[in-house]
Amino acid sequence: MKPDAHPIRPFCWQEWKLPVLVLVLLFFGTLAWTYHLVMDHHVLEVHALANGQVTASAQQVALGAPPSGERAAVVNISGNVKSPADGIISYVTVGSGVLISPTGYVVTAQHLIQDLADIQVRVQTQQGPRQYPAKMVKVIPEHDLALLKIVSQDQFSYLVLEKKLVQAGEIVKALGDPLGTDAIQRGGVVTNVDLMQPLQMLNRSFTHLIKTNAVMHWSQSGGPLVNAAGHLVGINLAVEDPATGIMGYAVPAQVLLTHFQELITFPTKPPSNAPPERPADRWWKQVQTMMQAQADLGRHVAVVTPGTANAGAMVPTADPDHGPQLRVLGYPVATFFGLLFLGFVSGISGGMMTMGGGIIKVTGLMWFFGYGLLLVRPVAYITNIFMYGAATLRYRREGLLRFDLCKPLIPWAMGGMVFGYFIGNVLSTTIIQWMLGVFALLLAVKMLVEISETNKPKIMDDDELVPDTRTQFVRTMQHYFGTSDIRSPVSGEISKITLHGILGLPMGLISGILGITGGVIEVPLQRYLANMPLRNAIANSATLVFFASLVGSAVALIHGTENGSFEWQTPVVMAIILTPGAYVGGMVGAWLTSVMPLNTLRWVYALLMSVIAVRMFWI
Amino acid sequence: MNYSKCVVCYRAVGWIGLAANLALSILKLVVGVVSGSHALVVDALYSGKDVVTSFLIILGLRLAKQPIDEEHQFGHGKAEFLYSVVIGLALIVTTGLVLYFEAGKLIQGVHQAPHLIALWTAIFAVGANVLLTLYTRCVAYQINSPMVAVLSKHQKSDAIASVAVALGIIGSHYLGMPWLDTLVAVGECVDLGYMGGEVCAHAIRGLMDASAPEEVVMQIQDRAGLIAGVKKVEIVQTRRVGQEIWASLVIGVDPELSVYEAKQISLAVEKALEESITHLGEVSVRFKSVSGSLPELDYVLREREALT
Repeated sequence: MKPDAHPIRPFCWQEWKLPVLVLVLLFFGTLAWTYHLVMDHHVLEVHALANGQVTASAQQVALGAPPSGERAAVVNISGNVKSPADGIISYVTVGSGVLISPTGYVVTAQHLIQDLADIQVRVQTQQGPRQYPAKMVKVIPEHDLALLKIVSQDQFSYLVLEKKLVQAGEIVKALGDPLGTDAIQRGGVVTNVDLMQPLQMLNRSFTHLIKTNAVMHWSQSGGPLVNAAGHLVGINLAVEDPATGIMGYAVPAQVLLTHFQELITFPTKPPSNAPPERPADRWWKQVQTMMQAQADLGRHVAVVTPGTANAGAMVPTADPDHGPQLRVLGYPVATFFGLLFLGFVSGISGGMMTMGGGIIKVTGLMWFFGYGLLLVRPVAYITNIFMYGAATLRYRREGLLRFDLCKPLIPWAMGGMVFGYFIGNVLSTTIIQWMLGVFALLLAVKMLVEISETNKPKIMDDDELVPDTRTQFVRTMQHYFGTSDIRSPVSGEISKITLHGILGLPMGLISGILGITGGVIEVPLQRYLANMPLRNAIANSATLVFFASLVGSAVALIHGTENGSFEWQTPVVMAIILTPGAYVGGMVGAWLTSVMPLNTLRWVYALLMSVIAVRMFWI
Repeated sequence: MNYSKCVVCYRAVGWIGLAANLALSILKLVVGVVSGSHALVVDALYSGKDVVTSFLIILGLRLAKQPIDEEHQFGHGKAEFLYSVVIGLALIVTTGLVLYFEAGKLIQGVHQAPHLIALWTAIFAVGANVLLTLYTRCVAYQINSPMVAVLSKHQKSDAIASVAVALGIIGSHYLGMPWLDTLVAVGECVDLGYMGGEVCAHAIRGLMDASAPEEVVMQIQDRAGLIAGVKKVEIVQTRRVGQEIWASLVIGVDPELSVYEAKQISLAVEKALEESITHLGEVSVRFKSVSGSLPELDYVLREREALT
């Protein structure tokens, strides 16, 4: 009742439209969420009905009993292959795979999937066979292994890894799923465990293989080799020898454990046969129990048998290369330091040339560590936050940052980033590799142009003009990629919005699709269109990358976790490992430029980029 | 109204409050039921109450413009009290029923933490209510409407209530105290019931022509006494009409003054009071020769003679 004694600053003078807009959007978002919760429950009930008495008999006839045990963990892998000869795309079944975690990680043989443009995994679920799209998470070419992730949040059946190395003479069976309907299964024994004996196939030499007579058919390739206890002891490889026919081999489970442990926690208990529980079920049960309060009944006290507690503990294996080893943040020591070093190298590149760090980071993660783009791009986004956040702060301290000019570009960059992320999700790996190659080439060209610039004749005297011997091509290249200041105002004819779009959007798109910063495009754009001096252009690009990466990381993490592409910790931890190396590398790079002749550095750099480009295009 | 833009808010504030609080109450109710959060369902009542308040503002601002007519020679201020009594009673009855239900749930002792969408909705409600508080506070100040000021106060208490709901859900979810949500619901019921009682009591006092609070009477007396020519403030009578306070005063003036001069003084008093006392409605100031003065004594003596 008592109005304030002192006058209040009028509400409409303050920034009120944005909060109101945000609140309205959030309001509808919350309603949508509620709707989703209710509808999700509805769908669940329909499912439950479909599995009930009415339709159960029909399903029994059509599909047989629901899969259980090993069968439920064997999957069929198929996909589209583009024929290199005539470019015709055909859909083929390539072999089998095995589920090794309830979240939908599938292990298979790398040679099976390397030609697939997209990967489809057919799983025998409790509700019948179902086909899921899958993405490659990590490959280990030297063991012919690939880790796939089914893009779904469903829960899957899986096989538990046998931690002890399989012994010669042990009875095993090898499973495969050639058609996505019936599994083939063949019993046998492990005939030989000589891990050091090399095997020549696929133009490479493989070691750490066990030999078994249980594998007989191509469709068993990539499928599981299972011991008497029903545990996974290896991944099958059916190798055709022209002399002796099909030879059965398997990659031991210890190899998987060593190479994939940083990405997944291997379950130690077999899956229960209870139908998978979804988050929606849990809260709905809660609501139901709340509505019709039921008292909890007592329970029996469980007897604890001494000695069973450490049944799941690791038994020392006979494989020294793939035994239990020291791990840092879940990564093997070698991988951990490898990642640190990769960060360091990309940091040096960034610190020296102010661009190119992203390409080294992304290609390095794919090339040396075998990680799939599924993981690489979120990791790149997150590292970019840290690296360019620090860079932005530094540029601001030095007064190079023109934030007033950056501000209208930031929304464009953010939008481009999000758009790019989703584009990158549907583009095939080959196209992305080509794009990376193009950027590496561009950088190499830029370096060469900068070198040519330093060689240009110097004007010794004001009166005596040395004739310009540069060709038109070189002049144009120097104009775009060089370091000389550009004075060619063209922005007057372009409307502001278009200008902001042209300056912000491509960079966001490139960052989103490739996970690199796209400085080689953005810096010339800023110099040419916005008339920025070189150093300011670099500072502005860094700022744009920082803000776009903030949004990109959030979107990638939320989207990836939501659709089941990965657990959010995986890219975050990897980015945390990469970042300190990159930071130190940045300082070292800056120091290197002051002690080494610049042109030598540029030559090295151009060479490195050419190598990357060649690798991305032809291998 | 200091700014030309304020006219917009004068017309819109009721409708904005109505729409925003209606949306909020529906959201809270739906989410509360779906997520199983008792506190959020009760919180919907808070917003529901503001829907009614906003509706009254729309009506009230209409009524205020309605001119004094033959049949209602003192205006339509009392109508507001009638509405208030109805709202207050409805509030008491509703919260009483919900309180009965919630207390039963609390004592029964089976509790489940609500789904986290309830927490999100509570946080959202806090944000929305803070914004509404700021907005209505500005409007209340600019158009000097006590009704809008009440709405602003209610929005603020809504925000606090939603904070309590959010804390309750956090507690029931993360601290292993699933009964906390229901406890908050019970607490909110008690608060709402108390509020309903207050509204009723205030309205009934108004209907019964209760006088203004003591401090307001003192304020009026002090202010009137400061006017040059006022020897003494003899009588101050106040009563509540709507959100306003109507006052009638009798001031004592020097008996030597002419009627014209005395009238000028009483007009000055009216003007001064209207400027300095908030929510003052009609003021009537009469004057007489100050008590203790000679003409006053003559008058008293004559009266006494007439009696004997």
